[in-house]
Amino acid sequence: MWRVAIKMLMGDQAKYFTLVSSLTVVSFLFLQQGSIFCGLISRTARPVEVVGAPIWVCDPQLRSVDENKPLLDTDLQRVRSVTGVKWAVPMIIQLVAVHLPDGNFQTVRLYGLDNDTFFGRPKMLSGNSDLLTQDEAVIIGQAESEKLNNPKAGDTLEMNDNQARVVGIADVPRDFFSYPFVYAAYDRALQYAPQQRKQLNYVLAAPTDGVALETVLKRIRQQTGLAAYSEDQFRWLTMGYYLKNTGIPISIGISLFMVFLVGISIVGQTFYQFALQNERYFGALKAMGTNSATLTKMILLQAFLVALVGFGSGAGLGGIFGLIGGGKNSKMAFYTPWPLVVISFVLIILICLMSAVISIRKVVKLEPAVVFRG
Amino acid sequence: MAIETQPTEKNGGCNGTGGRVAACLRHVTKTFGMGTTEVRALDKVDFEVRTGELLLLVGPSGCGKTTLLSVLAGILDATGGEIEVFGTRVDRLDQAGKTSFRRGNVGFIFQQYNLLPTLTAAENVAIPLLIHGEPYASALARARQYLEKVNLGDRADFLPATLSGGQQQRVAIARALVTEPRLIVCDEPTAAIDGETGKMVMEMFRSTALSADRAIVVVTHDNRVFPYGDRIAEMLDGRVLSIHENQYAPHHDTQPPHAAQQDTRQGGKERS
Repeated sequence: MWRVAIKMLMGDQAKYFTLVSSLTVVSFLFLQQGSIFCGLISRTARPVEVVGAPIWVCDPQLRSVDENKPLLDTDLQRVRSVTGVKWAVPMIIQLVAVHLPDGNFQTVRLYGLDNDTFFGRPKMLSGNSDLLTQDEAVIIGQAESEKLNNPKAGDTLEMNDNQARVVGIADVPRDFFSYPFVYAAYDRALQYAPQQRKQLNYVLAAPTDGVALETVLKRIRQQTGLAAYSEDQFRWLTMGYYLKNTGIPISIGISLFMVFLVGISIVGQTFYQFALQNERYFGALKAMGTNSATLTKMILLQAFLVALVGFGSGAGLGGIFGLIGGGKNSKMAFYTPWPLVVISFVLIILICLMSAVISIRKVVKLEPAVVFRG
Repeated sequence: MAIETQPTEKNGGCNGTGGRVAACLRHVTKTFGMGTTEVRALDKVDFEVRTGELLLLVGPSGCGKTTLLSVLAGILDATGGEIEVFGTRVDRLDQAGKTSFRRGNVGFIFQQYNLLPTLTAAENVAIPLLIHGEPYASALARARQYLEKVNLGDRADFLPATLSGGQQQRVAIARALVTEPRLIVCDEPTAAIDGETGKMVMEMFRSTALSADRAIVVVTHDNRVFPYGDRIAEMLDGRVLSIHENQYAPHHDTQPPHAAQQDTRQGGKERS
């Protein structure tokens, strides 16, 4: 009877088109809005991701990578002395104002890399990151570099009354605040950053080979009293901060909820109309001996089919949208993790199920004698 | 025609003479609504159908013909009384039991054909077989065989909308027969088709459907159908007044009464 169910559905082209197109739009909006949400939130953690450090040690009160709660310089040695720490280097991450030639100021995210290793150096598009050893040398991330008037190697900038000379352009993604990224050697960064009593922001570290990461993190916390996170933990700490302290989740959540309601409304009405208009055929099937369980399965199959087709179309459109407008360096934040796809599919199935229940109730309660009423 | 208030043994009831009893209703009542809106559609009806016969159920609009048909076929629950079809007490079955019973024993022919418009003629005929759980390919093959029997073998892949009324009704006949049911119920099978086509449909119906172990009940207003019945049951106000041999059958040499006396509308959609 499943063939009968599919033919009943697809034969009514108007209804089928209405169902599929509604679900396509709903799926697209779920994925598009969800991807924008995920893209925005994931960009808050970009400053962490671009470094690539296995362990981040910071002030225990720090709530995100954008906060500035410096450590003591001695904390570096304390971390190095923890058993299981293979190496540890200092890092500065601070927001600094660049004085542009036209007189304007532009906030940048300044990374002060360990003088000896330059750990955390970015992937270069032009120039060489080893040139950071040179005096006044800085590297500029290409994303958002238009805010610094698209500097190229040899150009100069001014930060905190100190000159900086561009020695290379790096391939770094955009972050949530759309700040240009600037990289300098640690000692040089101390001069570019606003002067304060303590300036070391983070100690980056790695576990000794064969020692579990969690074990090392625990030891660092116990022995130093500082917070120690894996890269993933620190990413989620930052993202969690923005989830809790901004209106992004609520705003997008409300939009998605409205999409859900509209989806149920249109799909539910269409399914119900379908059951009404096919009442005598369902009655005939019942009269001929089709039981309620079979009719229920037929309607559920119809619901699942349109869910599949609608979701596939919507997801495809969402993917095209993301390809055209998204990307790590595009202005639009767009990131589609696989759980979002699964959640969207489940929501579409839920919409179709809830809509199908309305028509299933109608059909199951239908008296087969209706076929003799003409 | 004399109106009798109580069906007698001669006029109806489960102990009627002649033939094996296929289905029997004993003191069956069906009411709709409650209190001041209560309508008694069937009033202590005694009724029987024999195997090997085509029984016509006639009467004015609203007399309970379709209700009786529905109760007999198990698609409507009676309020009281006993219903026995081929030895099964249908009134004692629950809904699932009634559904299963219909699946195996009852074929339907509807006034509006009720062919699923998005399925081909063959697929429509195959539906009862699919309901039985038969695989699609073999169900379709058997359906085509039955379409051959009603001279529609070359229309098997046509959609109902591309068939004439008579052709659609023949498809419906094939669908009703494909599972070889022992009881076939028909509600106004010729109401939606013209005179000549109606006669052709009834001739084909009688020649292909009627068999020694099968009973057919036809509700009709159409006096063109009268010559095709073996017996006629007359109803009025929810009661079976009489069941008698069909004097309009070809071997009786009489013509059906005038249409005005029978409250018949040609090609119409009368409801009973």
